[in-house]
Amino acid sequence: MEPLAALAQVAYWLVLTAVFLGAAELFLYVLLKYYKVKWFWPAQLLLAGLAVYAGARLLATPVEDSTAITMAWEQGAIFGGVLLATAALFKYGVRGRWTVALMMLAPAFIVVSLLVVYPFFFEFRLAFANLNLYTIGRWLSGEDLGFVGFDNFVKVFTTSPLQTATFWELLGRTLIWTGVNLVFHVSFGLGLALLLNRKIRAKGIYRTLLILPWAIPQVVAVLAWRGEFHPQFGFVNQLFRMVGLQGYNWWSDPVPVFMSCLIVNIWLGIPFMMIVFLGGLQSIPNSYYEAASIDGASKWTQFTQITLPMLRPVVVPSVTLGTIWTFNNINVIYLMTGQNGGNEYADILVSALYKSAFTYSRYSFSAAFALIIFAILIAVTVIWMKVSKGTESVIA
Amino acid sequence: MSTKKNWWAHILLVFGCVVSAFPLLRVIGVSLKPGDRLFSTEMELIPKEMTISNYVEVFTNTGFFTWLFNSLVITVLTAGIGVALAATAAYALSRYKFPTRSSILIFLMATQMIPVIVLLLPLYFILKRLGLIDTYAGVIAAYSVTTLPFCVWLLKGYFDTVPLSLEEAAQVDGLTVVGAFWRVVLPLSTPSLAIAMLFSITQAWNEYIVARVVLQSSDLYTWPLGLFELQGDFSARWGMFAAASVAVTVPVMGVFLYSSRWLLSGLTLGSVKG
Repeated sequence: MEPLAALAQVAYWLVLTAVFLGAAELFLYVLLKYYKVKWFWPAQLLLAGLAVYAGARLLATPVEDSTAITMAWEQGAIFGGVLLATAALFKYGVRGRWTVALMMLAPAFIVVSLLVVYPFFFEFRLAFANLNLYTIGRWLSGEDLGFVGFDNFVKVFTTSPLQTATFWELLGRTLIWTGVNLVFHVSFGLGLALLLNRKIRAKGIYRTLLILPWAIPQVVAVLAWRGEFHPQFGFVNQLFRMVGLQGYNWWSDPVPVFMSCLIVNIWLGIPFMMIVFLGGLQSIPNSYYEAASIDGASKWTQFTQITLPMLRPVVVPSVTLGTIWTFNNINVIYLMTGQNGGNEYADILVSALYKSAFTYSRYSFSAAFALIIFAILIAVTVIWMKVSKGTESVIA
Repeated sequence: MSTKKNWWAHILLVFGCVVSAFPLLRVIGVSLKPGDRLFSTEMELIPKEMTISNYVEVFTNTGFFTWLFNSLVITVLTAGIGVALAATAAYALSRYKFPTRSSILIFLMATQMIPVIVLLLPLYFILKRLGLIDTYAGVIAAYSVTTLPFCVWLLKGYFDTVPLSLEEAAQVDGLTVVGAFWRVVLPLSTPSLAIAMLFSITQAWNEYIVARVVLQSSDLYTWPLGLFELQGDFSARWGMFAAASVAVTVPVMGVFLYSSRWLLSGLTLGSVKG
């Protein structure tokens, strides 16, 4: 599509969304204002009927011959049902309270529901169907999705999400990936922050240069690194050769491929930790150290007894963030290994999910795989929240 | 602490700086090399014969400016929509203690922990059904999955810090609740709105994985997709890849280094996704 045609189309969709959200606000206003009137339910039923038709028509399969359009009654019914449920909730539950709050919340709530909640349920539907490269055509031309039970979930554990790597290998590699990255990010980040926190000249210049890996767009950084790992012309192997070593085949040997991804991601992640820790260090009052040195505490004692405990409020959230980011990091691995003739030596769960869905087109399988990854993430998050109690302060 | 004792700290820091700046310097070096010199195994950073032919080539013979235009449209709309929808919702969540409020907040935080990739597949089919694959609108919708909950979360944190007494005073002076929000709270929160905007912008501007799936025709490629294309056939266009990288990176880096301070204060205020 031409950029200009695409612009016109995006304008059309913006207007459509605005009209839809406006209609929703109006609907809400009526629900909040007229929940007591006699004609409430007749009006709602009429509206729901219209919504079923409109929803079915809007999501209908586009076919060139307009008489053959397959109406999406299923989706239309969901739409109408949602309207009726909302009406009931507002008539018997809300009863005209919190008008301003609910109306302000509504647009974002609706958009998030459409973009996050609905896809999530649709993913469940997909996971129990048998949609792949061969059946997609039939589904798009209006055939039902079908139902295969838990087949896909079983397959995730018994067959490879990629070509040879099994689920357990991917899981193990994800744990190694997350662990190794975090250890290096935190230790190097803390080390550099401690150095930068000293009374030292040219601090600003060091800080700016050290933050570079974070400032460069990730795509540029990773692709540039990929070039540096080129077995023949890349800088890394040239360095090896300079000291008389053979070097590694970073692009195609299993261990070096994973190593190169690790190195790149460690390089990318250090500045964030450094800056966060530096902020934490600067907030520790100098008088603590002065008092400690008057009492005769050594530098090491000061570090373990003052610096580390005082850094805790900074460390806990940033390590949480770091874990989530690293676990979910797909950019580095995909950009390093996912190109033509790519390999799967470095794949972790999320990058394998991406490849199995969009490289190998195993849609239903990937939906099941995604739900399993999702379950793992939720479990880890819940455990971590219990351990760190890090969220209470934010919600309260 | 005397500055004389710091020499070893300087050595370590200089080493760190070399490692962190090296890839960028190399890319700049390669971008200035004439085409036939790319694969020499010389290691000098500043090439002996400098040329800007790679830049000329990228600007004239590739879709470089189309990519930038596409990225710009998508980024601006994503950030604008995200912040506009998020501001009111964040305000409601910050000021009103209606039931389900805390579950909504927990839900919003949970969405930050789930990578967009987990939802990308069903989203892809929904977009396909709506005819939004290979359009700006499709990419913007997919980006809003992450940016919108995130902006709500971020802005809610800021609104919490705006004193309630200001709005009460405004309401005593005759403004409605919405009027007080519009005339008092929003102007006071300009910095936080800017941060939310900046976050969405960096997210959308640098995104690759989702764009790869949703955008298919090269006319609509964002710059990361275009860059990947250039680097894809490594042998032929490495110099052009480097030139395009430099042209894209320098302005982004400038903005980032300038704004990193505020970005960071935003990060610590409860946002989770990067």
